[in-house]
Parts: sequence; structure tokens; C-alpha cells
Amino acid sequence: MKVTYEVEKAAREVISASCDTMDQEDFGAYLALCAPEFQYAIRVYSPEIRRDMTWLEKDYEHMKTLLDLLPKQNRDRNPIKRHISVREVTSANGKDEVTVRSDLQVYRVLLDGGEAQVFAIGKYTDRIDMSGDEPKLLEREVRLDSRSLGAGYHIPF
Amino acid sequence: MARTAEEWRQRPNLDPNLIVDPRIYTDPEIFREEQERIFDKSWLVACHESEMPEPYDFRTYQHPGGHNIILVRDENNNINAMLNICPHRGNLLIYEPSGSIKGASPSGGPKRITCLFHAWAFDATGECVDIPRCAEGYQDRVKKEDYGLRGVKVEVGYGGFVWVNMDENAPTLKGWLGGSLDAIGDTLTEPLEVFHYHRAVIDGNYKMWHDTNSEFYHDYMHYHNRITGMMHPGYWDREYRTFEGGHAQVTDMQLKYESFKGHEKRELGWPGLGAGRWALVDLFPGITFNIRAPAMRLDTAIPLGHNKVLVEFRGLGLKSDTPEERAIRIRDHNSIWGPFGRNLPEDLLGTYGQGRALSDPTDAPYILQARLEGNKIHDEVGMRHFLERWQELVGRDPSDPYHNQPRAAE
Repeated sequence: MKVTYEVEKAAREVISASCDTMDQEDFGAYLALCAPEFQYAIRVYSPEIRRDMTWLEKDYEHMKTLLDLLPKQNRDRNPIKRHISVREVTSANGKDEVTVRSDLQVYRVLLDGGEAQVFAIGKYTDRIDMSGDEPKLLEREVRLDSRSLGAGYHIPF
Repeated sequence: MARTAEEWRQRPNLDPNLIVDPRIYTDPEIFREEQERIFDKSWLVACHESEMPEPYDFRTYQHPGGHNIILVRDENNNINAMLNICPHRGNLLIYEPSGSIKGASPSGGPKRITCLFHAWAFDATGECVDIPRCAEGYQDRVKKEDYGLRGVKVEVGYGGFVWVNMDENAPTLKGWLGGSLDAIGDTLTEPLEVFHYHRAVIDGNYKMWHDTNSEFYHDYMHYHNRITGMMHPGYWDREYRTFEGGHAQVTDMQLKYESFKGHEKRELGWPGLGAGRWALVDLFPGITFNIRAPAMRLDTAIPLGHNKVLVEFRGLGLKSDTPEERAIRIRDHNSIWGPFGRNLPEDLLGTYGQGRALSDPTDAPYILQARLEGNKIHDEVGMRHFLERWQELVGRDPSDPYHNQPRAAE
């Protein structure tokens, strides 16, 4: 498909909405942005062991299970804020979908005092189905540059 | 009703061996003693051999005694350990965490560790092979034959891990382990490969982390464990077995992953362990072998100070894994033990919370290690056994480290 201004705007908006809904921990709204065949992964390269690593890998059903169980888990309650800068929107020939590459910065704001900290940096590569009335996320790969996340975090980026 | 300050300071009427003075976690002087008397005398896992698979590969290790170490595989496939310090002016020789010296570096030729400062060069065994303009500057007062690197004792074993010991008079690794890893020897028979590495730096004492690995009472923290483990009778049959040297094993059990929504039943096992079975050994002073089929996790605690610990987490599979098997192990490992896993962040939050609460050593007059359940899974014998060894080496009573001297702020 041709990447028009309207296509790019719609893609940008669904990615922004995915960040906003996760930031707000409105997981139902996040999942509503995803197609049933949604695939999610967090990957990172380790210079220590010189290997590419997969830190999290979920399909739609497993992502839903993970998010549904969060209220039952002890976890870091300091909220995080995902900030993206869209770098490139492209489309494969003959498909009603686009691939979007974005820079990602994740900030953490401490509940006690409100200090904002850079928590992680990386990139999103999103594949988005543009064929329906609403764009749907088909795939998200979070490629992290950061590898030190303190105690870790229960909610995917 | 909350207690008064006087009531709060009152020691409970328990055997002193079941009560710990928290200052053993918070005193910088005690930590310096631990560095010298424990870490500089212990066999510690520096890395896994699969992290340096080819001749001339290297890996660096931040030793808890405060030493920088280089591990290099030489042309004969032997792994050598040396201090990462140039004998000339004390510069760090290798700055990166891993790599290869097979090719030339900007400062020197191939197959050499060349100091970038003044180009002194060493081979993979630590022998000094070149001092630039040696004769002109030192005449015959300095000879390269006399300026090799400082070697460190190294052994490779028990699953292909690379162990180092700063003490040249240390017992063998086998003697140090006291049979503890032999108890899970069947699980370490096949060549392993690291597929996961990450670190966590937590404001807390290293013993707090090892304590968490040494007791299972904290399973109440984990929803996942409450559902897959504690609901099943075999859980309560698990017991601690202690070994000479402060090490302890927790006997294995069958996990019921299918009880946890979103987790399919485990079909893939591990050598010596059926699918879904779990084996664990805690090694003094801060290593945990944790095999929860189909994946293995190894923790190494590296204290950065009395109140800061760096924990290295490695995930391992079998070198013989098919791509499909490896993918299963990785997915399983990280769904529980990765930085976004269900368990590990919770465990680390426990250590963070302890570190923060005990940061003022006058706030808590004592903490308890007092659960006695016949060495079964919620008994705290693992921590007590650790401290028995700790007392032997440090020479302080964990319950009374200052021999009844007043607390610092009193």
C-alpha cells in the first residue's frame, strides 16, 4: 500500500495509543489495539556473552494472561512512561500493512518524591494491519539498548 | 498496638543461634573482613566456558574481593586466569567484558594482550612477550621474563563453569564444594551453553540476596509459586541437605505448571531431571545452581560494597539443543526468571526492601532465622548453615558480632 500522510498518521496514532494504554495500565484497551495474531517480543544483544537474547516472547493469548494476572503479583509500583519518536513508516508491496520503526525511551517516575529517571532506551519495530476500519498491531519487537533494569519490571514495554 | 522503643529493642526469648544481628549486613568494617577472609579464599564462578568458545577468546570478571580478572582461552584450549592489570604502570589491560585477542589491536599484534597505554604485550598464558624499547630504557635492569601477569587459580568443571580462586593455597574445587554439587551431578553431565545474561544492581547486602535463595518461606511473595508449587503435596516434602563449607541443597520436586494459567505442561526435561522437575544448590558465599527443567539458571552475587550487590544471572541450555528445544528453554527461563519474568523482579524487590529498611543499622535490633520444620522446605536451616561457615571464616558471632558491645548509635 502507499504510505500517505493519512496512513502514517493512523500508524503513529495506534503506536501512541499502545504506549498510553500501557502507561495507564489499561490493559484491556491495549489488547483492543492488537490483532488476534499479535506477536510480542523483547530482544537485546549481550556484549558479555556475545549473543542475541530474547527476554520476553508472547502471543496474544499469553500476553492477555500475563496482563490479567498482574493484580495478583507483587511488583514495582513506580509508574513508567513510554515515549516514542517515529523514524520510518514503510509498506511491503501488495499488503495492507505497514512497518514502523520508532525510537523508544522509557522513563520511571518515583512515587516517593516524583523524580523522573531514564529507565530504558531502545527501539520499537511494529507491523500494523491497515486493512480494517481501525489499525491493528500485528507484531511488536522491542529491541532494547539498555540491559540494566534494576530489579526488572513486570509490565512489558 | 505498636511496641515502644524499649520493647522493640528487647531480644526475643529464642536460642541466640536463631537470631541475627543486622549489623552483619550493614557494617563496612565487617564487609572488608568478608572480602579478605571469605571472597579472597573462595572458589567463585567467573563465567561459563561457552562464553569464550574459541582459542584467544577472553572474558573479564569483577571479583568480589575487589580484583579485576581476565580469563583467556589459549591455543591449547586451556582457560587461564590473570589479574587484569599491567605490571608496568598498573593500567587495565582489557576494558571490554568479552571478545578475542586473535586479531591485532590498535596498540599491538595478534594473539596478544597489549596494554593500550605503553604497549607492553602478554600472551594468552600471561607471559610478557614484549616491552617496547626495553633495552634502550631499562638497559638490563628490566627483562620481560620477569614481568608476566599475576596468575589466578582456575578450574573448569561442574557443568563447564569457570571457577577462580585468589588464594594460591586454596583447596581443590572439589574439596571446596564438599560434595554439594555431586548431589545434582546427574544434571551437569552434558555440555551446557549460556543463552541468557543480565545483571541487577541492588542497594542491599550480598547476604540478603543469598538468603533469599536459601529459604523458600518467601514463596508467599510469588503468586506463581503459590499456584504451581505450594498447592501440591510434594512441595512440603522438599528438604534442605547441608554440606560442609556452608553449602546446601534443596531436594527436587515435580512442578505442576499446568495449574498456572498461561503455562502449558512442560514436556522438555533436563539431563537427570524429568520435565517440570526442580533441583537447587546454594553455594557459599553467593552462588546458586537452579535447574527448573527445561532451563537452568545460575546466580552469582558480587558485592560492590557493604550495602550494594551486583547479581549476575545466567540462563543455560544444552549445547546439543535443537533450535526448537533451545527456543522452549529460553521462553520458559525468561517467563519466570528474566528481567520481565514473573518471579525474579519480586525476589529482587525483597532484597531491595531489606536493604532500604536496614540501611540505618540502629532501626532493627535483630532479625529472625528461627523457623524449625525438620529441615523441610520452610525451615530456615539454609541461612543458618551459611552463617555457621561465615562465623568460622570471619570470626564473629552473627548473633553477637561485637561481643555485647553497645549498638553504634546507643
